[in-house]
Amino acid sequence: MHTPIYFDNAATTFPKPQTVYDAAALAMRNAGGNPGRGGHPLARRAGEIVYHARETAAAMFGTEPENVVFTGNCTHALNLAIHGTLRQGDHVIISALEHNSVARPVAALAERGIITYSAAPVFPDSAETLDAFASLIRPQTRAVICTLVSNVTGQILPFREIAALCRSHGLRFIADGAQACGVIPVTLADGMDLLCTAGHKGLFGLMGTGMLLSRGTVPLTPLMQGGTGSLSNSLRQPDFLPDALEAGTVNVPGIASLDAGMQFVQRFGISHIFAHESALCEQVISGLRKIPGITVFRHADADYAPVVSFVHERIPAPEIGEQLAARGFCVRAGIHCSPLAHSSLGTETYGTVRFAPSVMNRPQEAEHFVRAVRQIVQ
Amino acid sequence: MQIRFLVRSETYTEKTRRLLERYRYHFSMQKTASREGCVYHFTVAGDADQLAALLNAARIPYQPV
Repeated sequence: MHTPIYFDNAATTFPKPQTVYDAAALAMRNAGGNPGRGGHPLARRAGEIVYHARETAAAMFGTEPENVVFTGNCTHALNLAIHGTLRQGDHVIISALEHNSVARPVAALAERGIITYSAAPVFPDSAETLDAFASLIRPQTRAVICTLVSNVTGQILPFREIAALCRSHGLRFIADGAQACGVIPVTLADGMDLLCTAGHKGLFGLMGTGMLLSRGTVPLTPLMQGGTGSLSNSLRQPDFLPDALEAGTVNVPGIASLDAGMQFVQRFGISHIFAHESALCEQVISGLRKIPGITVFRHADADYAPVVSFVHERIPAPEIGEQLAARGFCVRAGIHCSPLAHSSLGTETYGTVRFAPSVMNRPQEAEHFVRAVRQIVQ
Repeated sequence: MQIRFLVRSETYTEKTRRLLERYRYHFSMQKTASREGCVYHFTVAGDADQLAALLNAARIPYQPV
């Protein structure tokens, strides 16, 4: 059986670096205790693994280790941030490219009559996008919640300018960094109050990992209460980070893998990762644009992370995706959990085919991919 | 001088341990499990005021014993 060629790294990265697999296995074999519970060596070892990962994340994203909250995924982190922030009567601004991990919790709160929200269109020109956000601010606006990079088109939003806009209006900025972290330079110094990210995409950890990062100055109402191993005689959830937002047992092997993944990214260098992946995208875009009937969703004026969406004028995206899978290529074709983005693109019926390489992919694989698309549509 | 204090969070305990190691303090740490959950007992050799300044600067929530 041929090994599939994997271009679905926007969903989750594969393969992981060997150090990631090794770190998870080592944690499972040698540190099987529950961190923060019990005074025995295996609990202590697990605690050290978890703290080391906090230190790595803190150094990478510009905060203190205790301000790194581990979650099950980016959706979990975003729900912590969104439900922990918003109150009755608040208005929020999201972008028109949001993934359901932002759109659904916001829509759910609106449906319950707790908040109202507006979706800012995203233009190729950053200044126009910023104006769109600014024009939606009203007295009740409490927060801007938006992605840093679209998971459909790869467009990079002007997030530093959005952060500055939020600061000038006293708004909280909650950022979805799922597609950005590990791919483009992002730290809390860029101005977001809360940065939510997946551990299993650009940071190369295993699935089941994510983080909520802050400078520890933003109060959040916990989404869950439960055991933390601290202040156990109290029925109140601890009010200090990370315990306040980490109820229950954390995913130690996952966190160990995430630590190894972040270290891999730091060693490789985000600029090199971005350059490598972007070159593969440019190669594919160039090839796709030579195929009659193909539309690639890239605009010359916009900035992009290495994610490319395309459609064919006759063949629906899901069918192209199926045929690519039959030829051994792993891509995601459809709505990508981002109905808002596809509404913005006009692709809400069938979605798009998404090409999302990683630093593990090679130019020959990209060449084969373009050839396969050509065979399918011609 | 022997300084004793408690930390009640594993995360801050690890932070404390690394801090003390970085600044080359001689110390011991004992973890006990009680009805209050895990409590981490530190015994540090050094100047109390200097140590307090270090812990406070690092925003470590500790309880002198």
